[in-house]
Amino acid sequence: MANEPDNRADNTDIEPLSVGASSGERYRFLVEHSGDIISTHRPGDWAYTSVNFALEQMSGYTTNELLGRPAYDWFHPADAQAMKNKLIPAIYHHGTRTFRYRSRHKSGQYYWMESTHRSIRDEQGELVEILAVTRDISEQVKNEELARRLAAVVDASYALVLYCNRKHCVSYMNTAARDVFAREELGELPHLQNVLGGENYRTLTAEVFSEAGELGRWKGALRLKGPFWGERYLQLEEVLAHSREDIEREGNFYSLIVRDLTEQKLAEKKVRDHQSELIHASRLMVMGEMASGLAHEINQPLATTLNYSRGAIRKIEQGSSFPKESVLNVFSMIVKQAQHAADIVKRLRSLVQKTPFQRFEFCLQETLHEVELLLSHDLWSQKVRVEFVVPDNDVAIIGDRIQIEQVLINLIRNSMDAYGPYVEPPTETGCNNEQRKVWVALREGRANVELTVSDRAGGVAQSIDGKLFEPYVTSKRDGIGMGLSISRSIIEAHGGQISVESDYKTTTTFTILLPKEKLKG
Amino acid sequence: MTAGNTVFIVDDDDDFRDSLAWLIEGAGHEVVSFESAESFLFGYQKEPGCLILDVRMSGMSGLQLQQEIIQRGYRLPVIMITGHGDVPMAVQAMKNNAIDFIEKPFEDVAMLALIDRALAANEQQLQRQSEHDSILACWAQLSRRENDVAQLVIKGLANREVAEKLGISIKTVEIHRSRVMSKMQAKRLAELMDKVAVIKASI
Repeated sequence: MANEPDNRADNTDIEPLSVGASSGERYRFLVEHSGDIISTHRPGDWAYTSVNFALEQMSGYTTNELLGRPAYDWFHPADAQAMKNKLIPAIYHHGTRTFRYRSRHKSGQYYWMESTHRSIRDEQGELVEILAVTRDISEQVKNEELARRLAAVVDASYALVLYCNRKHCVSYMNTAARDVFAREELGELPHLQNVLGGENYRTLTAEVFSEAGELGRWKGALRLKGPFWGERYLQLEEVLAHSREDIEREGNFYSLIVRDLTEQKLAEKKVRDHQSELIHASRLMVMGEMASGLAHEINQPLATTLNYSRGAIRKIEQGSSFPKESVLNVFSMIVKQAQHAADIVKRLRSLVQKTPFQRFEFCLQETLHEVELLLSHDLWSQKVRVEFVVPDNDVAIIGDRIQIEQVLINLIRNSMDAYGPYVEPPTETGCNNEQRKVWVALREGRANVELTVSDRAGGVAQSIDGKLFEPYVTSKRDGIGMGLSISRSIIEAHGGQISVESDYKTTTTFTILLPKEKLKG
Repeated sequence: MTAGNTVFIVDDDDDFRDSLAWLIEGAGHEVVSFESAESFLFGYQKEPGCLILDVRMSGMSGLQLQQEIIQRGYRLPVIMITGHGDVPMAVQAMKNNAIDFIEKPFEDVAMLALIDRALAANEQQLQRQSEHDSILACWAQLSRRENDVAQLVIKGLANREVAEKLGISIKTVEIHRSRVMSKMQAKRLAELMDKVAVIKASI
């Protein structure tokens, strides 16, 4: 064995011996100084015939305790069995074999070892000795174990995980990713551009990979556009870059983590739909309550139009003189009235219509004016007056005009209802009841717009204060308690707040705060 | 246009009021419009005619004005109009002797017919009133004795019974009776009884 050349590359860093040193000296030097365990074994029972110092350290036993005893005495029973059954015969046949096993330390604890065995034969080919180089691979096995576990976790993850190499070819997809991205025509190691589609790939390389390459990772929310995965909502959330400079200096490896938000988005949409359904239903209900007043609003211009038209027909039929100016006058009156009715219908239709949540800029003064017109008949018949206090300059916010209108109608009608039905005073004078008033004020702050609706109709009952915005809480005899709850959802959907203040005796003030800044999207 | 047949309109909706006035003027009536019950009470000079009145108005309502008209003793037939189809109000208006209660919008023919009816009723009422007044004036000319005799005669008593009741001679009864007939401008007993029936409530 002294003739065996040592060609192990990783031992070349040991200080060279003098030129004159014999190969035996060299060998001994190497064995003694090696960090690896080097041992020789007797064929047959595998007993130690020589060991180096590294084995003493690794096993906790002295050389004397080891020599002459079969090495597999210290193996884990299962590994010892495997060694006897498979490895030893293999070495007899093939000469070299590497074997991974657990070895027991003197303390009783097992460590993972890896031995490379080489048979040494005499000139007749008879097996004389077995040379073993052994390393402690506990750390490596642990890491491998960890990597395996991680890989299993990655594979089982709900997130869609893709690994791609520096040529941007996808080397791995976990199960979730395969379910979404795998297509037959992609084949082995498909290019990312083919997997994700050209547009997504362009965004990815232009925006995401550059940042990930620079900082090691990119985090964000990038929606991946179809059409390969139909209506699914896929969102790229994280990209990790691995430079792997040990292998290749140019380019990065990337791990892409994509989330499938389809279900979540569907659930969110369902909630939103439900919400807008409720808002619409409540609006229709309020419209129902306002119907007779609104009917009257339309009836009035219709009656006026009919008077003019019928009067004109009568005159023509009777052959009365009908000067041109008079005809013109009649027709312009008819037009004015028809337009008036049409305007009311238009206003009504916008309230009745079910529209998705709108995000447009609109002027709150105009909204207040619309509300005033819509409520004018009810207010008139209940002898309730609304006083508006608004700034001269237009105050605009972004949101759903109809929904804000709905909230204001709700609040003003609440105040109106709180005054109770109008009872005609017994005397012919005293018709102007100054007490039946609602104050609506609009103020513009730096970041917010504030709308207040106040009345002096008796305040909120102390028993329901604080619960007023909860569903089914009402102080009205025939109310169902949805108005304020829906008003709150509307205001909150606009990023605002609604609150109420009352002295429980006389006054009630509702305050709405709406953010002024422009909303994105 | 018959003098003294004015159609008064009280409605607080300017456009509607104008259109109604235009319609009614076109049918040959004189129209005077008011925008409120209060302004009507201020401006009305007991002219004959009829009143088209909106039941609901800001300020004094149509029903209140109708009651006020009755209280002040104005003899003005009222046509109530409404945009509401308000049943309790309609009942109240009819109880207060409205000519009719109609909903806006209405047929011009129907409205004009109502106006004719109201004006006719008003005229009739005025005629009755003047008849009543003239009979009452005649009645007032009767002396105390003549009055006594007349009261008994219209109850159907014969001259003899009247004489017995009043303790005077039949001859005297006959003299008083003939004076009653001439002062009341009645030729026969039946005629006298008809005339007295008109003023029955006032004597």
